[in-house]
Amino acid sequence: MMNKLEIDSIFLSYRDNHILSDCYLECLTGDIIGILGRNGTGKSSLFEVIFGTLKPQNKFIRVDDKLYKKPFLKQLVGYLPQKGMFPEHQSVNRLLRLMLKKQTVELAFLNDQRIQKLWNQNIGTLSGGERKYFEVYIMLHMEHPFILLDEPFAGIEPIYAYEIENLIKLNTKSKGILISDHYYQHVIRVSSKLFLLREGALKAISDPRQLEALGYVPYGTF
Amino acid sequence: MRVLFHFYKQLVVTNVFLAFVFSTFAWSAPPIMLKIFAISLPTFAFVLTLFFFSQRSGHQYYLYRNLGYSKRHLFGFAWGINLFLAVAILYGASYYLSA
Repeated sequence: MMNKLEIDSIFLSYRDNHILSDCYLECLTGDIIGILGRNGTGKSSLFEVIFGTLKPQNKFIRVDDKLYKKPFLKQLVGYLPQKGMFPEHQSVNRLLRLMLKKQTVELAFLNDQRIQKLWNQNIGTLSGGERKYFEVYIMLHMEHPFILLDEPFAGIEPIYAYEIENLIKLNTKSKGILISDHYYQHVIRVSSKLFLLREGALKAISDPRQLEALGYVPYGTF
Repeated sequence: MRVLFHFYKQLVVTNVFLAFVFSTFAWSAPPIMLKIFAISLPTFAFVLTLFFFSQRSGHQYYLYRNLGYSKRHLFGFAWGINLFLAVAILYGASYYLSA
């Protein structure tokens, strides 16, 4: 089934500091949208606004042309925050059972060797890469039609970053995915559409060399 | 319901411990101690428990939000259980003491 997420007219400011102004974005099932931006440009704030946990001065979030104030209440949008969300003392299999349908949990155990290996371990004992892989795995296997991944590649070794890339690519058939990260090489590789969040607005990037011209990466990077 | 109970289980140890701490103010009078325990379970101890949980594990709210539950749902459910327990304890205590 094809779903459509539209984010329109988002204005967010703290006192005189305008974080987001007039952002527009459309994400369809199958899209992987990469959002790049320098520190403090409002990438995480944008995700929180879309998810429904941050209230801006103005916003229109539409899923299949229907307006929602808090899309997370209808499980239309899932959000993996940068700092994670799982309790340290609980095991991987317990959290899988809490978050996913029974059949999906069984498939996870049968089809994913990494999940098999982590099955009885507690979240607190996982390495940074294992933990991130598990978090992304759960998010991508939940029922939400749209998923927001905030810095899924941050602070992890290259092999896990590549595995997370593959995980994301494999799970786009039934979902639209928005990714934000400073590891722009991964984001560029995995994305079907790319945007730069700059001065509160989203600018579409058709060629990575535009990122040089816009001052996101040094000249000569591409 | 399973998700709401999962949240409640995260709170219950701290909640009961704090209610017990409050109740020790009436250590010398067990019936009053029990009443203070029951009353503080859904009130002072509950508020403090939520405060500590938010400070220490606030990131976990995203887990529940991803499952479709807001803070209002979580707090309401946990408070409801505590209220039920408080009423049960107070009722049980009054029945036991009058007998």
